[in-house]
Amino acid sequence: MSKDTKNRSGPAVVMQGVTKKFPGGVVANDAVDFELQVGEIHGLLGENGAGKTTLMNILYGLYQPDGGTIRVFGQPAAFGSPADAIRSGIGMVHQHFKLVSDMTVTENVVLGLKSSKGFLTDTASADTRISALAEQHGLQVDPKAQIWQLAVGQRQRVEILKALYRDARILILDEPTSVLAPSEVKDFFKSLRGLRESGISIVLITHKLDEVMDVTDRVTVLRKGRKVATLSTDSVNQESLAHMMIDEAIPPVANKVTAVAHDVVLEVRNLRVFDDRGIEALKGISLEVRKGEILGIAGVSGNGQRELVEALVGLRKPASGSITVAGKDVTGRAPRDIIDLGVAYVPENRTEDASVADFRIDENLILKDFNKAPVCGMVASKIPTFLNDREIRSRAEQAMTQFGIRATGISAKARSLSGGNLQRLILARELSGSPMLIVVSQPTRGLDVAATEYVRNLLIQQRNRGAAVLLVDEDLAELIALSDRITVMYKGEPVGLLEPKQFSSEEIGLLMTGANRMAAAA
Amino acid sequence: MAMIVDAASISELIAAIIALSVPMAFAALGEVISERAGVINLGTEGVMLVGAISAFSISFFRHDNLFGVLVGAACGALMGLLLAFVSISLKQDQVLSGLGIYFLGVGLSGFLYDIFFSQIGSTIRITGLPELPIPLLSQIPVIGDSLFSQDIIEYLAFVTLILVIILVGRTTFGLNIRAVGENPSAADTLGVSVTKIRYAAVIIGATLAGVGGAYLALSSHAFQAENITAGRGFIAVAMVYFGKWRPARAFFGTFLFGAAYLLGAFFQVVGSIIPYYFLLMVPYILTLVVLVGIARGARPPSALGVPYNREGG
Amino acid sequence: MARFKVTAKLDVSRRSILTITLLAYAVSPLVVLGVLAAAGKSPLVALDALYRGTIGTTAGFAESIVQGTPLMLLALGLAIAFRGKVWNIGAEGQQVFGAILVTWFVLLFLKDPLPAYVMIPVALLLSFLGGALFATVPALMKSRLGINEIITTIMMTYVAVEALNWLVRGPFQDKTIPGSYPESPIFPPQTVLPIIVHNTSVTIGIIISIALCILGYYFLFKTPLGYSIRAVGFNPSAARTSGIPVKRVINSAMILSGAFAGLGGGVYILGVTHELLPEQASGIGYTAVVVSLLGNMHPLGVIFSSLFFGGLISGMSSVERALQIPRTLSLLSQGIIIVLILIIQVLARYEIKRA
Repeated sequence: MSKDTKNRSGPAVVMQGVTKKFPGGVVANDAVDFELQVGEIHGLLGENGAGKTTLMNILYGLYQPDGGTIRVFGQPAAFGSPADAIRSGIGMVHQHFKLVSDMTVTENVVLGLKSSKGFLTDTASADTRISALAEQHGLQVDPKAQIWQLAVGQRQRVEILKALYRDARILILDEPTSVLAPSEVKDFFKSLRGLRESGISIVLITHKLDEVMDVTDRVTVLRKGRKVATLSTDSVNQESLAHMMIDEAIPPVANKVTAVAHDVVLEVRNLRVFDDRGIEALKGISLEVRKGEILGIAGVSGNGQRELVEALVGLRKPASGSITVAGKDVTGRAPRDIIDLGVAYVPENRTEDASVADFRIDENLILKDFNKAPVCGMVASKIPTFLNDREIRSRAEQAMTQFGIRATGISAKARSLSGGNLQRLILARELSGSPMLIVVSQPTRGLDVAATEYVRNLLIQQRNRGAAVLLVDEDLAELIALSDRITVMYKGEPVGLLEPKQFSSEEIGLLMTGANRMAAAA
Repeated sequence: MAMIVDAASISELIAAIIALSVPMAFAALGEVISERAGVINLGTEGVMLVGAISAFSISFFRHDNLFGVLVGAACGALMGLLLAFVSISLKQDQVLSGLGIYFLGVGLSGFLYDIFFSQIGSTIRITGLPELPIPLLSQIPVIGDSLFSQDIIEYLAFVTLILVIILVGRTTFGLNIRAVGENPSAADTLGVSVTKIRYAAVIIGATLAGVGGAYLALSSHAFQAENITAGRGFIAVAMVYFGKWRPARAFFGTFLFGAAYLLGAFFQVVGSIIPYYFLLMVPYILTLVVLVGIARGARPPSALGVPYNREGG
Repeated sequence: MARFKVTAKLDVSRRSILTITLLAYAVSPLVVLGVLAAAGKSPLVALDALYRGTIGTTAGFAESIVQGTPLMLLALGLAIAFRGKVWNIGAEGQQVFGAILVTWFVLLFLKDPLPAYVMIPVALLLSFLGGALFATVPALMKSRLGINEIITTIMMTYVAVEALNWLVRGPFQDKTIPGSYPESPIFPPQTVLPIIVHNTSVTIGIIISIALCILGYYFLFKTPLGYSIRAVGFNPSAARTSGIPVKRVINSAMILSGAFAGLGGGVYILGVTHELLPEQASGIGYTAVVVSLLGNMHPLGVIFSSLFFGGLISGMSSVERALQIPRTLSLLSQGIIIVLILIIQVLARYEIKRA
């Protein structure tokens, strides 16, 4: 198992021409070259959807590439599963932790490994070894604690310890700071440097420029599935990186009519919301969105955006505070009542929350109003009778043309649609009926260029029409391009409300990491 | 009518409860293992039936009770293999595949009974298992005669309980089972074969159910062609919920149930106003009540009932 | 060892579903013949008996319909519930309860029965409502408390069966006949479902059942409630997000399926047995699960699958008589067929490739 006998003079990892396609036509990696030197911290930079995670998932054996070659420590590698990658000394910490919540730290770490005591688990000696490793690398955590008891930062340490326990010499970290507080980030980077000193080679997947500058030795920039450049960190700065990262050709959005102060459509006052674990996710946020404006919500995911959105659309009851739509109090009301007021919702998880995969296109389009006229026949205007097939069909045909949904027909199941077409379907449903408030989250995640452009223009059109739009978006460039005002959220509170003149990736990025706080935070 | 309550009858009561509950207890232990790994086996009833008929046949023709239990276990394992194949490899809905096993079990056990025994006619009885009193302990008044003077399978039930507790809580295999049932993706990324572990868990579970069915036949001394199990397999599954997927709780839950079962027989002997059949309802109604009682706070293994798909690639 | 990969097909064509279903239908008699051959019986004699028992003779055909009719109603209810992913395994208990209510009503008017055009509709309505009522307990336990409906419906079934056992030996027992038989008095002629085919026991039950299946089709695919049941079954999260009241839909699906099961019990007792017997708990509620599956959980598919199964049951009796084999053979064949159907159905929905 000694990895020291491997070729130390060569690079740790060489990936050449790696290509990965997904069903639906998305090319996640397009002939990407990537090289990791021994004992370096290598940043893998790119926007959401650039292909960074996919590339590393291939290296870790979770995905199989459609083309290209991989060598690890000089040996050709074809990992059919993570077990193979682990055996070659590769460890990966995913963005969404793969931990078993009600098992202890030790149990999670030794999962899948042979025990020294044969059948029985050897928690005692594992505890000791884990503590030793933790001490050695500055990743202290209580081995006997159960995962659900641990804070997020500690859970991350467990993930890293999992890799170190298996003598990983290569560590892949996917957006590790997305769940950390700024002080935790500092300690985290200290540990990374420590690991580097021990000779471990690290790939840091991130979309944050400041982190790249702070801790990496070299950086590879990916954009839309292709490699843009690999450079030494000393030779770049945040501006040049941003330049390489962001698709400069953000298609000019349709003419934004200058926002004039209109009536307030959505008013949120001191909203407090708890998440599924009983932790306060929103700590008293207030905001307002006016007619004909797009309010962008910036923030690293996990800072309360999801709970905010769910409270707004009736999927989560707030603990206190108020939500008012067009003057009507909707705090804690069911989704039905909120929808009936004219609120549209485009969730970030298209397949889980916004569409029924096994329903046809026409069936998906009536998901919100299938028991109302004209989709449904009515008796005495109150009692629904039968679905009006003709109406449903014509609505579907119209939607397909108007929104450019490419499919075999209105009878095509939603399952068969590509991401972009599915989003068009969802938008067709949500936007019909000219909603006065549109709540939308990560609208262009995973979409190709054409679909992305379409969705962005559509949102601007809605805004111009006079809709109030609440836009939650991790894609900072997109957020900046579309929003009229931006609120930054950090740990459940608003930490800044910016006017267009103040929009800059750096400023917002700093606010997102809690580094700054604006004086007049709404 | 005066109810005679004395040492002897309490002792008999305890012995009867144990004998009645042990089949369910085995099945419940097996089901805990299977469900902790994420697979529900609704066909436990059918597996028990097959275990029962095989043990009964072996006992009758070969006068070898223990071999009968072994065969019952083996049959259980085979049915578990089939269930595993349909629900895990073919990813068929677990409810439906479980019911398929149930039907198969009903059909198979009835059919085998007819093949072996229909010619023989009249009452077919087997001698059950002998009691094995533990020296000294069995002298303890009241409980000694029942608790420490059981037959070997009854002792085995308690031993199995301990083994299952150790298995789930302290072995690597148990660790894998728990991981696979809670977060199969986590286990998968660490190289644990979700498929293999689930197969093993399901087969072990069904094997134990087979043992339970075998014992049912042996302790009843006779075999009713259909319905010897009378829903015990389903109740065992309910007991797993009741026990919140903990082996000991599920195990002793079945004893609670056995006691309820006994109420009917007891009152029939003693004579009472409540109609016999109403008392037969008690166990089932009790289960419903108990389920309502523990509904809050019962959290099943997160991946229970969900076929595992590794995304992408 | 070869590694297989099972992935869901993107778009399952109706044609492939039909092909697979027909395959399942075709396989079933082969299974029966196979089992018989393994038991050393002549397959040719068996085949002949099977044919005569199903569609070869009038009596056989009639029997197929008679057996299939109550199955059709139960399976229809189950199709609706299963589409909402509400696993109602307690159709057996619900149909028993429906029959119990019918018996209670008939016994009220035993001495002085009302005319048939009153007795029959009221009785059937009672069975429908009785089944619905019986399903309400598991429904509420699921929607309010999240308790698994499989367990609760099974428990309710045992309760119903014991209630049946008590009633036929107690309050409902026929005390006028000598001896102590567990059966109710024979129902008066005003409660007998009219026969529609001369010299057979085919009643209007089959008409009612087919009509309800057709209505069921419209319900499931053309009404808002049916739509919401399907939506909740496919994706409860998306349904909830779109404003569908998921709890209410689950309740509706469960209660409706219980109602149809109850009606099936009523049709059975008024059309076949004409008295309450312990045999009312014939296991038909469990068979209906399989029939529903074979019918692809589609109201129209259920028409065919229930008649098919009715034919299977009738044909198997015929084979039993011809070959002098026990009834349990049907049970065995049924079990094997069910498992095979489950396996075959996977072929339609999934692609199996070598990894």
